[in-house]
Amino acid sequence: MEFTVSRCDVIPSRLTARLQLGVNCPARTPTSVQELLTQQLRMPADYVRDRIETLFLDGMVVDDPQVSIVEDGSTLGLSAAMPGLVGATLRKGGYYAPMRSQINWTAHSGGQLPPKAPPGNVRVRLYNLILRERAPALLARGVMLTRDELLDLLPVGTCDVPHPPNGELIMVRIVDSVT
Amino acid sequence: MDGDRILRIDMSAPGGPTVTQEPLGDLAGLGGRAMTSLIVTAEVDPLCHPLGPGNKLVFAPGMLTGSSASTSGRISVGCKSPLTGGIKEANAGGQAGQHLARLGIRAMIVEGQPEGDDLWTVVINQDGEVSFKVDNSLRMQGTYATVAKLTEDYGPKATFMVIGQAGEMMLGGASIAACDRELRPTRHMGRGGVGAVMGSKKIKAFVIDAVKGPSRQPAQPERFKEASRLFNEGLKRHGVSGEGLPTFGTNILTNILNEAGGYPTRNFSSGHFEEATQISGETQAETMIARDGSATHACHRGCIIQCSGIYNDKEGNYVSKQAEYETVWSHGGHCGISDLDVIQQLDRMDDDFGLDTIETGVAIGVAMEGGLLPFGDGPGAVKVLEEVGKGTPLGRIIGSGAVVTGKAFGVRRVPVVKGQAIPAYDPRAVQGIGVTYATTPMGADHTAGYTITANILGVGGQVDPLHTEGQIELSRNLQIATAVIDSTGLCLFVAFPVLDQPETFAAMLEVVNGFFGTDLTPEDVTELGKKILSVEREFNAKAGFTAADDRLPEFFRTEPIAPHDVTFDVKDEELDAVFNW
Repeated sequence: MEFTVSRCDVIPSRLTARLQLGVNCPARTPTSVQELLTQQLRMPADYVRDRIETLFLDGMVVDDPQVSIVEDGSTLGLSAAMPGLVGATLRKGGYYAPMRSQINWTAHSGGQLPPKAPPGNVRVRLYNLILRERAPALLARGVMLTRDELLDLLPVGTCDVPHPPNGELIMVRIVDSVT
Repeated sequence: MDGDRILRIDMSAPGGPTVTQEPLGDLAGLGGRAMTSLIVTAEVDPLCHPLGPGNKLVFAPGMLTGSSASTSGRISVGCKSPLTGGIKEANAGGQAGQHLARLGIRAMIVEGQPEGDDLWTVVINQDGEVSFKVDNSLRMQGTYATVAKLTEDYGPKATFMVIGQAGEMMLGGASIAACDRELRPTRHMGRGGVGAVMGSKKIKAFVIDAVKGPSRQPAQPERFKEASRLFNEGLKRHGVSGEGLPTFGTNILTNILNEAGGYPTRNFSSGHFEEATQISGETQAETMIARDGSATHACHRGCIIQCSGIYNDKEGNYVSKQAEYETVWSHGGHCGISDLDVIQQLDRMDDDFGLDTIETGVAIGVAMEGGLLPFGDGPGAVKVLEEVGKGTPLGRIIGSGAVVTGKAFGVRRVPVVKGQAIPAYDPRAVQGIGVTYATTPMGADHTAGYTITANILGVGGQVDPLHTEGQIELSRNLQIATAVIDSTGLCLFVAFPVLDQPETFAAMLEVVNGFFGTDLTPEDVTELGKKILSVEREFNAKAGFTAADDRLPEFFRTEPIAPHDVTFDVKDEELDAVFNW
């Protein structure tokens, strides 16, 4: 089931909160973080390299997007560079990586946190500048939301939201304008 | 520089306080933390009572403060800390440092203690002349009311450093407030109970009048100007100082620490707060803008990072400045509170009572664990904090900090080092910060190893990032570099472009050299940092500190933290090697 809504019909603060909490994105898995971001989510490679300074895969810090593997149901957090010593420590491949070695993503660390996304999806969380810059494209591509999550984004009574069978997720596209 | 001097204020003098002026001597060219720590070490008996006449309170603008160097307006205060019992340096932005520096006052040493209960205001006029006035009408007034009264008396072009009720009661969590450009007492020299020392001197306020004439002039104007241009470019170009901080403030970190499982929640019982997005920097910035506040605000003239903001209530009325990450954490996740309005109200109250937001928030969280009120009770936290302003027995316990609160409520898990509350980064998830928490002479302090120039300075050799042992060397180098930044008057947030852009580090050093007409090298910078740390550790050793004080609380080694189920496992002998240079 699909649903398209104009960005101006969405409550901005609710959308910001939803993107921080995470949205489910259909994805082919397993795959590398790099492939997911650049090929499936269509982010430019230089953007992933230079702008997304901090990545979390299932709560573990990613140092190398090329070798970090996204599984079905994984959660991926994306952030720009962070301030402070700890912020620098959490950067991918940073000089200060030794300071947080216990929470580095490794091939054996996947699945330490319970998966959040349903099969066939990866849960993507957008933070700070990445949220501002990548949300429009991600939302236009479409994200999977529960009906309650979708209703939370909309002013009461403004849209006729469909009822998917068996509580299935809805493919929601949020676009600049609905033609 | 011509006219640069030290003011020495004797509060014990018969007949009332007196002031003398001294040349800088060997202290010429120093500022900030270097100045305060060298003076405290030289002049204060490490065994004195921190609230007695033997302690001294030393204010020092940074080396560049008062000049046109960008983001250089910070002022330091040093003393023996009533919270830790060791040496303390705390610093803040605001206007006070610039006013003092432009008057040529490179340090202000307050010593002695007056007899009687009169409350003094120290007035420095636009010619740098000092006078003293008793004003008991300010007794037990909050910092906002105090500044409002002083503004009436001395005009809006003056600036002020004041204490609130907590300082007058000489509580361990008491801060000293400096004012921002709009004369709001929101920039606090927060940590270690420095406000209590000011209260022990019976000084309620410093008034520093408007300054005539231009900013401090560099020895080599063209060199300084060109270096400043490059430095400013570096600050603006970098993603953190040029975009992230102006857009979201330091609270940009909430989501990230939470994602990393390093966000201490409900008194360090978990590393993940399920309601973190409700108090994140992203949510905070959006709220401020929606309420006609601002997500971008400079705490002093000349700051181009502008990491602060203005937080209004739902009706658009000013509440407080944008609470910083550590404050949102201490009153938020640490206490299980996810209501941003409550957190901002607590921030306002901290500022008004003159309290360190980290120490106070941590103390409330400890009290929650002790059963005083449940985690997550925002209105309850407000009521508890109100007790501090009233000076009730409960308020005095909370205002005295986490250790006293933990003892009063029988709590075992008290997150402190050297008696000072641990800030918003769990050292089990990010072990390297734990090394700095444990070993810094200041007590647990996230800013002690903040400045990240180690790879540029090359102090201690290059570190293999694949080995965990590297974190000892990293912490050492970070502490050395930070001690220097704390001396320059530059905001620590310049650290990020300095880290990533070697040319910006070079420009920063050239700004210093152009201003003083020197040719300092990175090696000289390193030596200054080592010297500062060495005298601070010397003071602490004489005060009775041993290696046993360079440790994290036991629970960090014995209680794994969710979601990663990790403990702090850096060995004691490694911690003891941090200062082996």
